[in-house]
Amino acid sequence: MSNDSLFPMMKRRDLFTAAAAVASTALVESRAEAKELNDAVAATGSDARTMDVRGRDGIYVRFPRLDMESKGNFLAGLYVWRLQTLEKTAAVRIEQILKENGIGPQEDMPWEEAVALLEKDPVVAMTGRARHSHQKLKYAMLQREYHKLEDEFLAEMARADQMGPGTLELNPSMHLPKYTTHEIHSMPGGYVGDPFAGHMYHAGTDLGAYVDTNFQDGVHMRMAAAAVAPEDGKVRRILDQGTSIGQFATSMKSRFPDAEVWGIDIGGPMVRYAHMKAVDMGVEVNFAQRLCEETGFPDNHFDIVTSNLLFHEVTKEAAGEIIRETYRVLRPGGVFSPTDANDPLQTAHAKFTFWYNYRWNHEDWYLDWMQVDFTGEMEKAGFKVVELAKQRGLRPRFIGIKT
Amino acid sequence: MADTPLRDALQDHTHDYVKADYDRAVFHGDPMIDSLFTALTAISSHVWTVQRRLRIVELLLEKNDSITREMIEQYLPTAEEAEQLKAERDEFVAEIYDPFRESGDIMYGSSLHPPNLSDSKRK
Repeated sequence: MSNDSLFPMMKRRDLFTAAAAVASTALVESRAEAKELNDAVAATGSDARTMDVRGRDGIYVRFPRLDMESKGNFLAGLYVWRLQTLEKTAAVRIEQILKENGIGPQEDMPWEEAVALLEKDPVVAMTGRARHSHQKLKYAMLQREYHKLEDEFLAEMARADQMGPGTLELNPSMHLPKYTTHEIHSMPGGYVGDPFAGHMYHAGTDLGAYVDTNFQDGVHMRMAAAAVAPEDGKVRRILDQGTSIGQFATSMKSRFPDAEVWGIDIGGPMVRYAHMKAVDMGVEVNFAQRLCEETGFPDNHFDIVTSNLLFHEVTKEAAGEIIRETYRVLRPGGVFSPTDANDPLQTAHAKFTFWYNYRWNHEDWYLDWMQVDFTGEMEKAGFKVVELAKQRGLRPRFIGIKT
Repeated sequence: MADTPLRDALQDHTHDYVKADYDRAVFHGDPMIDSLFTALTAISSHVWTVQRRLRIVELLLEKNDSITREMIEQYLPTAEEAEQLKAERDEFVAEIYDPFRESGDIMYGSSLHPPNLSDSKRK
């Protein structure tokens, strides 16, 4: 099959359909043929996503196969069942166990004691089993499916690497601190070890933690809408630290369209996906594979620095370094807006859940995170800490103003 | 991962990583029991996948005289159909997994019913 014989006769959208027929089903007889079609689609237009073989749902590129979508759909349903049914039942059982041991439901205890008291109970254990099986099957499915079409998905990313708006900086020879290379969230390869880490993170969070609210960036758009700007109203440059797949960075660009927005992350595959997604949305954000401890930006450069769920994924030492680096790159009056589990509940039940996340969801730096006096570190770095009113959802509990 | 010429030509920007031990998680004291739950979940996801495909075929046949495999693969349910499929999925999931919640009732009596579970779940 040659481009001359087929492609000029077809509209671009038809090419997507043809690519779908070849690349997305078990009918694939020739990977070379699939690649040829994929490349031909890529050469015809400016959309970053050539693997939108099953079209879009809003800004989200649908999974390449119906069966993949359906398995994800089932796992999302299981996640909701666990949260709405099993966890509530387990909460009643935990209260019973605590009562039997003379402990009030709101009473605090060291996490080791909470684990010893609760983990063997069959109902409580089932919550862990259900979470773990869900996570294991979800990531196994996503990894397997993306790698089935890995040539095509890699070609799509390689093409998007070169596109704009917005730039992409990759630093394949940079030193990655060991702590950044763990398999956080039990995601195969973590943020650095699989070329489809960004794909898996995006799909995985929607089929889990953000069930059905993530595909259209809804959570991040609401976070950006609530973001605090500097008192003087000047927002020329924004940095999103630990940007992962760039959802908060692109949402901040939508909120502040005249600002130059950067998103940095240690994971090469993560920033590649972030860039491809932003290009596909037509949103101009610059993504770079850089360390948050050593961003490489000039002093006093940014008006706002954000981070969303970054700090519980770094060591205690790194947290201090990142806070100091943030102070350096913010201009006087600039706002540091970190969002994380800043004030987790201090109860036996909460400590047990916390332990599960640490031990089996491989939030490997959770214990470090619990030991960080975050606002104290901010003040030590020079920030004026401002407490914010508690809001629902992912919102910063406090911000830092560079003095 | 396949070692194809294309792959050789493309840098995938991956890095060595520290392997986690999540495959060693045991919650019920016996790895076989834990594996049975995971296997049940895998089977259930396959059954739902077939069931959802069948529902999509039915939806397409209501609107077309004949359908193709490509039409099935590409189908995007309407908002109303998506709601219906979601309700069917939730019922499917509850039918399979509610017994695990109900096991708590066998062990500890009916006191494990959380006050905020719907009546339909108080069987």
